[in-house]
Amino acid sequence: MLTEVTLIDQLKDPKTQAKAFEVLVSTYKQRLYWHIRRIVLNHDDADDVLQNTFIKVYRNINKFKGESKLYSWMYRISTNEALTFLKAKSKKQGISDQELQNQLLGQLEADVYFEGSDIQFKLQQAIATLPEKQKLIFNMKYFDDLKYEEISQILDTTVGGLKASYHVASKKIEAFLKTEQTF
Amino acid sequence: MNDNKINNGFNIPKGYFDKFPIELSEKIEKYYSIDSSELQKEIFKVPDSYFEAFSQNIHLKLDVKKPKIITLNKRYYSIAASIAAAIAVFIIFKINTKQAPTFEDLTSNMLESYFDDSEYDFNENELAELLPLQEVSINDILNNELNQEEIVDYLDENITDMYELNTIYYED
Repeated sequence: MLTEVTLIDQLKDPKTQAKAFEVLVSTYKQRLYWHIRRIVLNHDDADDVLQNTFIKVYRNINKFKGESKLYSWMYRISTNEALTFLKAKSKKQGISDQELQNQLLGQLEADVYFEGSDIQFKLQQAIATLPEKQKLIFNMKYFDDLKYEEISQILDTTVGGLKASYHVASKKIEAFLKTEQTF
Repeated sequence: MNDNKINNGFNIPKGYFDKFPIELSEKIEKYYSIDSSELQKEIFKVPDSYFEAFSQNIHLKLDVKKPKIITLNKRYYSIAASIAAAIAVFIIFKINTKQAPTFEDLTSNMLESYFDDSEYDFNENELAELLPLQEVSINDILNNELNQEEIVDYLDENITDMYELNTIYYED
């Protein structure tokens, strides 16, 4: 098993880059995919964003200074890529970010790659009502089970601020689910 | 700063935020009679073998192919040499028959570079005296409007101290 430092060194060395990149992709593809998928909701979009993320990582690995963990840096790239993707999509369709969220949720019910129950769908609806940052924090904590310190590095936010945001997000979700309790 | 204190004098129980996700799951579980691990279970699916194929696809996308080297055989060498010779003769002929450039053919950039790069003994006044003004009227200068961008570019390049622009002098 390669250590992170060795992997980074190999990624920066043209001779070992290709092999190291293979290791990088196989190690992180699934974690990054699910993180992206929860932001963009749809598989095809998640696939596009995941590819763009790895391409950016490959092209910018020499700029990685090692000040944070490699996966935090990749999470940050994938988060930015996913948000930029959604912004471009809403702009292209001439609709607001919230309208796009509603549209994506609407499509989710018919998506063959979605197999959530009613309550899980409600939870997605509740998450969609959150402001962007609260949404990211909630997903990373609740689903990805990342530590606050890790989320802090990814989103460049203080741990205290994250805890407060997560708390507010959870309360909003709880309130949404209570009002939507129709089943 | 202690993470449990958020600057406003209020305090929270130790480990409150860490326990919160668990408590939230428990609450939802209670409300909806659903197992919290079920709620956190992955609800999205991917096409079969997607992750296996992804590794290959991303490598194909990033694969920088080496340019192919095509070897020419001797016959092609002689054809290529003949074509090259013909082109060379054509270019030389064109150069020799081309008319001498006139002053109008020179662009402002070419003139500027010439004056920048050449050493000459004229000062600006002497150059002004050499400039033929017979065919230039005052309107040619007045009507030649400069746009704001050109003015800003000019000032950027030529003014080092913004005070040089201050033409009004205030006396104590």
